[in-house]
Amino acid sequence: MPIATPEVYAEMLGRAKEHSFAFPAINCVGSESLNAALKGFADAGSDGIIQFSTGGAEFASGLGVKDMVTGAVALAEFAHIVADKYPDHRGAAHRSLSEGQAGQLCQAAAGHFAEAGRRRQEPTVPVAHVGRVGGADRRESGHRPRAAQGSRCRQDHPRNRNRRRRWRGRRRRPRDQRQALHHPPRTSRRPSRRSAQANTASTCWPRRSATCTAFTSRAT
Amino acid sequence: MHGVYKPGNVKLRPDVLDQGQKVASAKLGLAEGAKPFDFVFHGGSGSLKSEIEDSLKFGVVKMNVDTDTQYAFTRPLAGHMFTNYDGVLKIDGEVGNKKAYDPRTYLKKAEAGMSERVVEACNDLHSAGRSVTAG
Repeated sequence: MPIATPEVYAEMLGRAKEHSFAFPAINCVGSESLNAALKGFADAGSDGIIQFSTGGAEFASGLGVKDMVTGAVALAEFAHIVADKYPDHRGAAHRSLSEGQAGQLCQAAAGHFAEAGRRRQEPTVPVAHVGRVGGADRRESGHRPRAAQGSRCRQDHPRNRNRRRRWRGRRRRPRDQRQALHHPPRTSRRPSRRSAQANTASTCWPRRSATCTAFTSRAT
Repeated sequence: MHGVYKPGNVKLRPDVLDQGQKVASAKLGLAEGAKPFDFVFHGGSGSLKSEIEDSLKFGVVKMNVDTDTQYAFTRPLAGHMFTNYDGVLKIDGEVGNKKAYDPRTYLKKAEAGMSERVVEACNDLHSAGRSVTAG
C-alpha cells in the first residue's frame, strides 16, 4: 500500500467523481492515529487521504520542538515507511496520500518535499471547499441578547434615561465614598476667643440647640 | 462545518452543490450533467447518511473526518481508564497494575477503535473495495 504520487492522486479523484464516491480524509496527529487510519483503509480495501492540520502537525513534533513543519514532515516519513509494509489487497496496491492541510503549512511542506526531490507536493487538482451551509450566526446580524447588554434593570436602558428611579430603600454609598455628616467632629475647630466671650456657651461646641445654649450659660 | 453537532441542529442542503455544478457547467458551456467542481465535504460529523449519499451524487470527492475518529480513538481509552482505575492509578499506597498503565495496552485499544471508525467512513463514502489499482 504505497503512498500515492500526485498523478495517482489525480486519478483517484477522477475515479471518485466518475463513480460518485468519495475518500475519507482522516486527520492524524501521531503514530497511533496514523496507524489506525492506514489499518482502516487496508481493512476496507479502500484508498484514502491522510491529512495533518497545523495544530496536529505541531503536536506531532512534540512539546520540545513545537514546529508544525517538522511534525508534518516527520509524520509523512512515518506514513511512507509503515504504509509500504501493508500487504497488497487482492494483488493490488491501495494508495493513500499525505497532504499538508492549510496554506502556510502546505507551502512549507511542499517546498520541503520539492527540495528533497520527492514528488509529494500539493496536487494541482482543483478542489472547491464547501463552507458553512445554513443561516448566519445571529450575532453577526447585529442582534445582541439582553444579557449581553450589561443592563440589570430597566432604569439602565438608554430609553428610560429620564425615568425616575423607583425607591428601593435607603441606598448606602460605599464606605469610602460616604460624606461627612453635617456635624463636624468635636475636636475639629475651636471657637475664637471673641465668640467665646460673646457666647458663654463656649463649652458646648458645636452648639446644638438654643436650649442647650441656655442651659450651659446658666451652668457657667 | 466543523466539529460536532447534535443531529438535526444543522440543516444541510446538498442540493446547493448540485445547483453550483449546473450553473458552472452552463457558464463553461460543458455537456449536460458535467461536474466541473471537485467538492470537499468539510466535516461530516452528525450528518445523515442520506445527506452524504446526496452530496456524493453532486460531486463531493473528499470528506474530512476528524471529530468522529477522535471520539473513536478516545472512547476505548476512556473505557480502559474507568474500568481499570485501580490499576492505572496508585491508590492508597498500592502499586497499581503495570499491565494496565502500560501505554501500549490502552493505545492498542484506541488504535483498534479508530481503525474501525475509518472502515465505517470508507463504507459510508463507498470508497471501500475501490482502490485505484484494485479494479
